[in-house]
Amino acid sequence: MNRKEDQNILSKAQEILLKGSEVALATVISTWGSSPRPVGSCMIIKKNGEFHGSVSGGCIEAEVIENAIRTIEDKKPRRLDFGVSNDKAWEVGLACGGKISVFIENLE
Amino acid sequence: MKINTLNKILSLKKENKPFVIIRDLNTNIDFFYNENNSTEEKNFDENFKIICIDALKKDKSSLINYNNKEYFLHVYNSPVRLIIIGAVHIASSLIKIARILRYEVILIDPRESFLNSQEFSNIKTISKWPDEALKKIPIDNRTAIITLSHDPKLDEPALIEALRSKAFYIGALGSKKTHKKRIERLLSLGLNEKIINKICAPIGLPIGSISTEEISISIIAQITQKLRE
Repeated sequence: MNRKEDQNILSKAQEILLKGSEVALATVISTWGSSPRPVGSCMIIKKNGEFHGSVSGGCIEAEVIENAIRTIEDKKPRRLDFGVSNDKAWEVGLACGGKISVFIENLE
Repeated sequence: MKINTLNKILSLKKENKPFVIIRDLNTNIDFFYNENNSTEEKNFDENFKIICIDALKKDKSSLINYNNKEYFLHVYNSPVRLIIIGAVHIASSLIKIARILRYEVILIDPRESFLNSQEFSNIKTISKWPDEALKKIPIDNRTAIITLSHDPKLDEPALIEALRSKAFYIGALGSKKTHKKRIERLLSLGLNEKIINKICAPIGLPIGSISTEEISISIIAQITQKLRE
């Protein structure tokens, strides 16, 4: 686990919260087959779309950001599954052919 | 995730000790496991503890099912510690790569003038005889020890100490011929062959390295291989 990198992301999240802004956390909770980032990798997203960290090699970040903004707005956590079997495979499927599950939640 | 959980993660990380957060994603309730501090969660019994210990050992976060409930185990391990014996030329490129991997590096050399080189100014250095220095460092299964000095006076006491430890990787720089002689000396000191075989020598994966940078890459590649095997 890339501990220090994730620590920086979480410290950043703490900083944002202390400033009074809202922030969502996206975490890779499961992967199948080849995937660019291991389980536990995380990313934080602000309401304006600004983000830190990563959950894939760039393939699904846009979709995660969009959903994270929704989570900040409706306060509901989300679980997103990406992969070749996904309906959205054409748009956001992983080029490596793997599958990945991402959990998105508010930091509150 | 509640801000209390986030704050606790950050404060536990500062202590540099391994821990696991056990997250019930459906209820947003998190609890923690670490070596000295078991949790109050009622679902957390001996078997659950074994699962956490195993996750830490494998350095692997995952979703698990326990008592018909789903939990996400998020593993926060301590950084890999790399102990280098010999503040020689190759140490500097090796340290650069180790830094990218966020290893915690400790450089040991009794020759203070070697340690004083600018290149080693921002890492932890110990100017003592290697065996003496190693006895004072807690060596766990996330520690790698390598000897680079080429000088049996420095390398061998360190290797003997390393072989007694839990280090997951022990490597020694030097040719096949050098290593053959090293084995003979270690055998004559009473170490058995099986134990001596734990030393990776000649050090590094065989990728035909020539420059110190290339040798450093082969060493780090071999450490990664052992860490993940």
